[in-house]
Amino acid sequence: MHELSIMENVLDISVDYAEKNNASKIVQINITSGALSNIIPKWAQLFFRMISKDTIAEEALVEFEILPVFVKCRECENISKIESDPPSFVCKDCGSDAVTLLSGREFQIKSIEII
Amino acid sequence: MMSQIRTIEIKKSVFEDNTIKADELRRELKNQKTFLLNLMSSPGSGKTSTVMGTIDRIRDRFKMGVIEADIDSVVDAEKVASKGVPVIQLQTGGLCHVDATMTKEGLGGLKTKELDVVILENVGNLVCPAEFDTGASKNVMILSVPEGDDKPLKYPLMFSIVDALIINKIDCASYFDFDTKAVKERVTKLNPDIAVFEISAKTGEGLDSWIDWLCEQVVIWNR
Repeated sequence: MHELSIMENVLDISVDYAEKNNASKIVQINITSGALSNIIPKWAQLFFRMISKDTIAEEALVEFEILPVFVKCRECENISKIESDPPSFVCKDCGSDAVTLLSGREFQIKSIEII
Repeated sequence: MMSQIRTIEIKKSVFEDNTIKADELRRELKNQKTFLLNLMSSPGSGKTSTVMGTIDRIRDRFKMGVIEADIDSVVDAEKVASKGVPVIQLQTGGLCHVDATMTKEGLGGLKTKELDVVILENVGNLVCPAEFDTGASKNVMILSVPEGDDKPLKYPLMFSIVDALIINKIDCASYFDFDTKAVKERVTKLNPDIAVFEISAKTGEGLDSWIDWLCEQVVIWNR
């Protein structure tokens, strides 16, 4: 839903790093995104194409690596990987739903590929 | 000759800049003893009515200000201004949330240093505002009875990041299949430390315990 403002940040950060490295063009941007980050890659890519026009990131591919969701059980303390669509916040070991989210909300620019 | 493609590692969270700005703002507010409440909910949950009821009950104790954030229009700001409380309208121009930079701009317009409590009425939306730290002292959300008791299942992030949940419009509970007990159970699993208040901003029912909690948080903030 807020892909536009997120991708504006991605563009700013990527161009900043690219310029610091004397790049003439950004070819690809690699993003790691938690499965619960609420960012839909398709929309993010579409918005990125719009906002990157006339920048060195124009035509850059935006690749997403989706990271799994891990929770920690507050009862048995085991860590389990859970399904994300729809999220089932349940411990895989003891079945308790008193779990704390450990990861799955990340949204990070992992790297850029430049020439 | 083909140019060589180089890979530059960044490993930077896209939210990082906002989180840093939010932490800075929180420190500034703490130093000047201004409590900032970030109030979030769906459109039509009764945010403005709850803000108005809250103003009436604490304005004698605290100097108050309100930041109204909407995609467009000044309707809410006009309602609050009719109470004689300083209010500033942030029009987000299509943006679905308020971030720390926008909050700071809003506070600047309110002359914050003279205010004890500022309420930020965030954009009506249960998704995006949960992702962006505004720099608030406390985050509170409203869920109104007509929205349904399944919302914690559909928007787990929002329910897991707030310090308190206000269940509003309890005066019309009998018209809806709204299971308050189920909501509390679902929410407590996502967020064991959450405070839950059942109110009707319209009739005033239940507002006292919400106000007691809020005043306590302000006192703790100013210590």
